[in-house]
Amino acid sequence: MEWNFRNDLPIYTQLMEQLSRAIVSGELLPGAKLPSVRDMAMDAGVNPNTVQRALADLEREGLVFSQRTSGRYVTDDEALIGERKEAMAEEIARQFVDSISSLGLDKEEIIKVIERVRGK
Amino acid sequence: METLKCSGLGKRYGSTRVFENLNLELEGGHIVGLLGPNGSGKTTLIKLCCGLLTPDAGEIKIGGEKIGPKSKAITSYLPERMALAEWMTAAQAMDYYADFFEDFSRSSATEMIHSLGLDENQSIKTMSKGTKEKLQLILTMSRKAKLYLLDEPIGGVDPATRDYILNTIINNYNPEATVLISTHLISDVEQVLDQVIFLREGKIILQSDVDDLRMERGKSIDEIFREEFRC
Amino acid sequence: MLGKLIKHEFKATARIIWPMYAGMVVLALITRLAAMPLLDSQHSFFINAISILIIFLFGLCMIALAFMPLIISAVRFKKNILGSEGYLTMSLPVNTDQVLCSKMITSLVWYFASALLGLAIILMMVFWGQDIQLFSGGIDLKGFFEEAARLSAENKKIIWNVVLLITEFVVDGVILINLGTLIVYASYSIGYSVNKHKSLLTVVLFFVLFHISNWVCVLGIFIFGRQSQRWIDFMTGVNGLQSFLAGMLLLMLISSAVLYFITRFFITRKLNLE
Repeated sequence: MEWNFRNDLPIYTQLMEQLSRAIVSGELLPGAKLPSVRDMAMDAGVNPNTVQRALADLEREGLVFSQRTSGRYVTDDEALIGERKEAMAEEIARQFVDSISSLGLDKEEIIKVIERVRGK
Repeated sequence: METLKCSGLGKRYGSTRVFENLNLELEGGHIVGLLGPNGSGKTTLIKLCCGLLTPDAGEIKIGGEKIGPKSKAITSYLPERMALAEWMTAAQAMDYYADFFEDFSRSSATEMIHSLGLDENQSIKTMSKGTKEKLQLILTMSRKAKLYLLDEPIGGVDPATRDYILNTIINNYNPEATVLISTHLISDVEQVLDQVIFLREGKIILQSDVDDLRMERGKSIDEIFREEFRC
Repeated sequence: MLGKLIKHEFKATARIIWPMYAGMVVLALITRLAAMPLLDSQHSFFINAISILIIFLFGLCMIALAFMPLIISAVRFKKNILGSEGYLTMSLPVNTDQVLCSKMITSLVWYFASALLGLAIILMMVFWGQDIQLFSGGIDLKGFFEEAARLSAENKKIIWNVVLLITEFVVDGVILINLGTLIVYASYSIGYSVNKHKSLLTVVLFFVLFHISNWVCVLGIFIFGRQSQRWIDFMTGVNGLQSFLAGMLLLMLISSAVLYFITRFFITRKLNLE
C-alpha cells in the first residue's frame, strides 16, 4: 500500500483515513486479512503503537474487526463500507464545492467543469 | 515497573551544571525521542544511563536495577562513535556480543547482516562508514534488552541508510522495552516516535505523546521544537 | 566474565604480538648467520661491518622485546578504555575490577612469554651448531647439582629456604612488573580525564609516578635491606634475604593497591570519552 504522511497532523488519524480509503475503494477487499501491526508499521514507516491506535479506532467504527488468534480483518459488512464511501465522498465534495465556489461559479458551471474534467 | 527512572539526578562538568534535580520516567513499549539543542544534556543523560558517567546526585534505575553490571546487561547502547574494534570482522564482533550479552540473538544479527549483503568475514576496517554504522546498529538491536539508548543514530547517513535504521528500530519493537533516541534531526525521525521529551539546558520542558501533541498544536514536532527553542 | 575478558584481551593483543615474536625469531636467525663471518677473520671490513650492524640491531630488538609487553599494555589500555572502544568496553555488564584485572593478567602473561622467547633465542644463538660438551667445561652443571644434593641431605632446612627464596623472587618480580603496568594505567587514566593536553599530562604523570616508585623502592631497600647484610653468606644470610624480599613485597603491594584504586576511580568516575 502507498502511504503518505504529514507530520503536522496526528499520524494515527492519517493512518485511519488512508486505510478507510483503501477499504472503500476496494483496494482492501471486504473480509480481507490485514497485515499485523508490526508489518503495517514497518511498511508505513511509523510507530507500532500509532498503528495499534488507528486500528483500534477503526474497530470501534466497525470498518475493521479482530479475531483473537488470527488478527484483524476488513469488515465484510458491505453496507457499512458503502455508507462510509458516501460519507467520505461527500466530505471531499464539500471541500471541493467550498473551494470552487470562491471562484464565483454557480451550480451549473460547477457541474460542467466536473463533466469536462471527469470526461477525460 | 518503569524501564527507566531518574530521580533527583544531578551532574556537573567542572563548573558547568548539566543537570540539577532531573526526574524522568519511561515505560516499556515506547519509542521515545530525546530532543534538544547541542549542549542541552542529551548525550550526558544517555551516558549516565549507560554507566559511562556517574551522577553527582540522585540515582538512576533501569528495570529497577541501579546502574551497574546488572543494569548494563539489560541496556543496549548505540554510541554516536564507532565503538567496535576496527580489526574485528563482523563475525568476530558478533562473537564478542554473544560472549558478553546473554540477550544477544546471533541468528537475528546474522540474518540482518546477510540481508545487507555483508560478508561475515569482512573486517570492519574495510567497511564504508555507512556500513559500519549499520553493523553497529544491527548488533545493538539484536539484543533483547529492556532499554535501548541510541545516540544520534541517523546523523550523517544517507537517506537509504536512514530508512534502514528506522525500519530496523520499528521491526525490533518490543512492548516491554523502551527505545530512547537522541537526535536533532527531528523531521526525519518523528514518524517513528510515539513519545517525545524536549530537553533545554538540562531541564525537561516537555514530555508528551506525539500524536496528542500534534493534535493539540496542529503542527509537526519539528515545528513545535523550533518554536520552543527559538533563539 | 573475567575469563571472557581475558580471552578477548589475548585475541586483541596476540594479533600484534605474534608477528613481532615471529619477526624476532627471524631476526635472531639472520643475526646468527650474520655473526658467522666474524668468527673467520678472512672477511673484508665491509662484511664485518654489516655483521656488526645486524648484531647491534638484534641487541636493540632484544631490549625492545623486554619492553614490548609494557608498550602493548599501554596502547591497549588507552585504545580499549579511553578511546572510542571505551563506549563499548565500559558499557559491558562487568565490574570495572574485572576489566582492569583482565588487562593486568594478560600483560603479565605476555611478559612471561617474552621472557621465555628471549631465553629461547639466547640459548639458540649460543648453542647453535655447538655441542653441549663444549660448554660443560666452563659451567660444571653436574657438579653443581651433586653439591646441592649433598648439602640438602645434611640440612633439610636448606631446601625450604631455597624454595621460599625462589618463590619470593618470582612473586616479587611479578608484582614489580605489574607495578610498572599500573603506573602506566594510572598515568593514562588521570591524564585522559582532563579536556586539554591529555597526552602531555599522561607523560608527565608517568615520570612523576615512576620517580615516586623509585624513591619508595629506595626507601624500602633502606628499611628492609639493613637486615640483609649477611646475605652474602648463602647459608646463614638466607633469612635476611627472605625478610628483605618480604618487606619489599609488602611495599610494592601497597603501592600497587594505591595505583590500582587511582586507576579504578578515574575510569569509573572521571571517564572522559569524547
